[in-house]
Amino acid sequence: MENTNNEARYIKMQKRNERKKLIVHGIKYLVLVIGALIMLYPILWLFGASFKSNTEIFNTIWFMPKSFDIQPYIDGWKTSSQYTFATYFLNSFLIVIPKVILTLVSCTLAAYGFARFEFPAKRILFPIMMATLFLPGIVTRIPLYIFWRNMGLLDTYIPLIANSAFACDTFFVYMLVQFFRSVPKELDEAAKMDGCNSFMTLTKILVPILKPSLITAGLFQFIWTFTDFQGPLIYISSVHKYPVSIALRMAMDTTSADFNWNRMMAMSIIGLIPSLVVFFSAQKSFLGGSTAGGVKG
Amino acid sequence: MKKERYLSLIYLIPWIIGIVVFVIYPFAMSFYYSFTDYSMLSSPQFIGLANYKKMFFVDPNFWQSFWATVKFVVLTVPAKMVFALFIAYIMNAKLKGIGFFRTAYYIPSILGANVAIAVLWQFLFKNDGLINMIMERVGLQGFGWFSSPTGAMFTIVLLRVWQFGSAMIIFLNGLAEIPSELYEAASIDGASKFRQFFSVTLPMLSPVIFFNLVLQLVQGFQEFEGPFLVTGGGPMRATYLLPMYIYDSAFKTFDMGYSSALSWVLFVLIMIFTAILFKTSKKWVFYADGGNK
Amino acid sequence: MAIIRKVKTMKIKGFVISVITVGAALLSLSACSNKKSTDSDNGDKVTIRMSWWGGDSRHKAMQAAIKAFEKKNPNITVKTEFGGFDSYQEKLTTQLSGGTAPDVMRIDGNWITTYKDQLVDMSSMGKELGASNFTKDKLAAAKVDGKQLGMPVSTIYRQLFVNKSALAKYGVAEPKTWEDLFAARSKLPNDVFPFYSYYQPKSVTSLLLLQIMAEQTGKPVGNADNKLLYTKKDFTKAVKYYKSLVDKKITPSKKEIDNSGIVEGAPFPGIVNQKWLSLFSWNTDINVFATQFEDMGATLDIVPALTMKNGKSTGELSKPSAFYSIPKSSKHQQAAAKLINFMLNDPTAAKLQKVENGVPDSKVARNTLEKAGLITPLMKKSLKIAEGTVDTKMANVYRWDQPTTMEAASDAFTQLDYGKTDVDGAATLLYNAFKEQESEFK
Repeated sequence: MENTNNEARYIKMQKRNERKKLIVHGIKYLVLVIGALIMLYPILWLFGASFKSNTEIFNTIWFMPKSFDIQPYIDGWKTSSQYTFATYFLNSFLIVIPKVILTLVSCTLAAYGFARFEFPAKRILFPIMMATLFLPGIVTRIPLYIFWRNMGLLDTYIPLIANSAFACDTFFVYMLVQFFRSVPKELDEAAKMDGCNSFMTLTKILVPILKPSLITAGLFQFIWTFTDFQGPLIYISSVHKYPVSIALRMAMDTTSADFNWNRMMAMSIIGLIPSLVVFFSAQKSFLGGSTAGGVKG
Repeated sequence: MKKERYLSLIYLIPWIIGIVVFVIYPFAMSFYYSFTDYSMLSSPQFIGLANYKKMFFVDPNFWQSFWATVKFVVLTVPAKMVFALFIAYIMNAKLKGIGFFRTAYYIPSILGANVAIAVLWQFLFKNDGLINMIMERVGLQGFGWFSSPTGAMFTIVLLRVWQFGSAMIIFLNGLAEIPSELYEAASIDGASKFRQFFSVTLPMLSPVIFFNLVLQLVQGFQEFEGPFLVTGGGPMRATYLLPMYIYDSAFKTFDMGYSSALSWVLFVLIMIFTAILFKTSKKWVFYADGGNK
Repeated sequence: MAIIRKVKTMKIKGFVISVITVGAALLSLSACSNKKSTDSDNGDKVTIRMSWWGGDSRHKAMQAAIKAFEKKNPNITVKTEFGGFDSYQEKLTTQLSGGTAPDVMRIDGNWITTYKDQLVDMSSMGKELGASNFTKDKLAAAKVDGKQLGMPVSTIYRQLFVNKSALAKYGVAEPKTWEDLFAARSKLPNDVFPFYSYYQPKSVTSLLLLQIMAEQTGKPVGNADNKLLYTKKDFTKAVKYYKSLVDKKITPSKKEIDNSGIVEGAPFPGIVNQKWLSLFSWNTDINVFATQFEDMGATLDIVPALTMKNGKSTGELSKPSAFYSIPKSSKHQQAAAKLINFMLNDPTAAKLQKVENGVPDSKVARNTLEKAGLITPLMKKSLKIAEGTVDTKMANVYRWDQPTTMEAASDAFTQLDYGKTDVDGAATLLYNAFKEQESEFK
């Protein structure tokens, strides 16, 4: 008797909830669509601008070009060097992929060391780590440049990648430390009981739980490295080793009569594609509640 | 306990090597440079505290940049945090096509310092731009955004709030880690969505809010591209933030010594703000691992 | 094992010394990764590096010319490093600071005083460089403290680009003097300005000021030893003149420029919508404006630098557009000189490069281009005007348009236009900056 009553009330509640959900969803969609338009407009405009003439680009905020002509894409792709943009894309990946992998490995290890172990030196090391976030990179450039010159490694990708192998991207170490801390320590102890050593605890238990956070770190590193201009500018001299970020500005001389902004816009659209693809495929891992199952206090 | 200490060292060894080679050494060099006259083209000449004296007692541009930077951070960081959290909260739903929306909202951040943004911002805020047109349509007076110190600051604050993508991702990530059981329990207790946000989401998210705040603060203080792209530091240096001054000192006027001194002042400034944050965090940040650091 | 025993028997002091020597040897080995060649004239194969900035067409032309050079000199391989103008100097400075600069570098005319201690004195290399193809004046432009620090590529001139069709629409004749501009004011609508001097939000040049001062005083900014010749009074007088240009609405104020929707490096909105009717700039930009005006459906014309009543100079300023220089760190200076000679003076190279680097200073190269009909009519006109009116007394004026003085010009004019300072305040600011620049030359 009590049971059926409860059930009926439950079904009623569920129906009401569903209706409410529908309305809430509707509102959410409305907000999202309006927001998305504002967010997407610049890229729409950029796309339109890649078909416009120089004066048209700087004269109208409306994205639609007067005519569509893919010539800027063809010319831009060819570049003024003897290499096409394909070479520059390949170069970018030669930097980005090792860098992302090394960052994930080294920063996970360092973050684990910071987040899961108590030791006296931590009182000094942790603030040191934080402090490395605070100094603008520009003033450390000359000493580092001279260091890499003495190592004979200028005009290679090593100066761009090496610091990631040693967990020197403090941003990510700090980020991962925080995510480690959101995982209860009881889990480690349970793993220990089951005979896991600390490394196995990390790889078998913690890394799977932290997968979304690691994907986030990898994603940021991918996008930031892909668009980084300052690093390659200083270290890479040979044209055939330029990554996309440099190649994009290779012909950026506004006093040159054939400087066509549309060509640069066209190539920057192409240059955005890898980041967009990576982002779109990575964002699935942030789906709510999907990873939380194993984390019961 | 002793074993733990060694274990932790194993994990930290790569970082320690890296920090010595890639960080401590160049940091020490830049600290030394800050006491020198160094054009990068001839060897540094030790001049004692002259750079710092010039900065604090002679150079009006320093104080202008200093206060502009503080103003920028104080305006941008809270606005960006609230906005990013709000959007992330909506985005954390299993809606159809949510992947598309997430990507769309991240696009401004991917665009970063693209010239398209420089051009669009001018279209929005110039004299006969979109914003002024709208203002005049509703009966308000048009405003010289780029010729008003406050207006120009507003345009770059808005730019950075609009590029809230990475803050949003960090929030999304944190939201995903909140066990759904907690919400279920709360809704069985009859808590409304609104109540749930304050009783479940915010406390559970507090560590993520905290460190996102730290990251945004650090990034805010190192802001360079926004003003570089949109206002050029003007008008009358109202948006000439310290990192821009640091850059120009180094690579425009070739005064690496002064540039280094400016950097160390910025360093201390960020450190003070972060230290205050860490101090207050004990009161409002809740960690799953039970620690309180 | 033997080594270990040997080390063990050695005294500690000896050991330390040997470690240091080995370490130093290793370091120097790695530091010299670009191999040291004995002499390129011996027929040994050498590789040299050359860097420049530019746009697509210059990149293509330069690469083609370099290929021709390699064909002619099979012993020399040239590695090219090129990019946009943005941040080119930043990279070059880093390289010079690290002793890794390319063997041949294109440097802007303005930079020669900045880099004077890093560059090879070419005085004794005249023959290898083909210096006889240049007039004394042109060579002198690259001289600092009596040292020949570079070879001139081309010369550019400060000129006025006018929107002929728009002027005609308002019934205004092409201006010849500053007074003409003042007279034109009454014929123009309120929001149309007869003159605009290339001020952008970030980059403000001091050249407008310097031209006014040249005409007012008849003196260049500094003498041959870079001593400032202008007094505080001279600055006050010039700033007053500038202020009258703004007050009488001859030129848009900095405030109006800031709000005009201007994007650094992009076409100027006031020019594109034909509200600013003339533009004061270097004639390097001729082709840029020619295409732009064509796009706008307007007619472009070039007129000489404006003169003033009772003026003591034509005000026509010139500047070497760029130099090819060799850094002292270069290990292949002979080969580098050969390359410079080829790029500047070889007829084949001239034909391949056309006017991508401006109309060449080298007589052979210029003749070749003139004969081949590769100089556009507009460019010819510009050169004819410029070479006829240029004030050679002012040859070194451009050297004072440096970051320090540009920044001061920007601050002074901005504060003046925003009403934050008066003529005296602006003049003091400028005078102090030029004094500072004077000391920076040393």
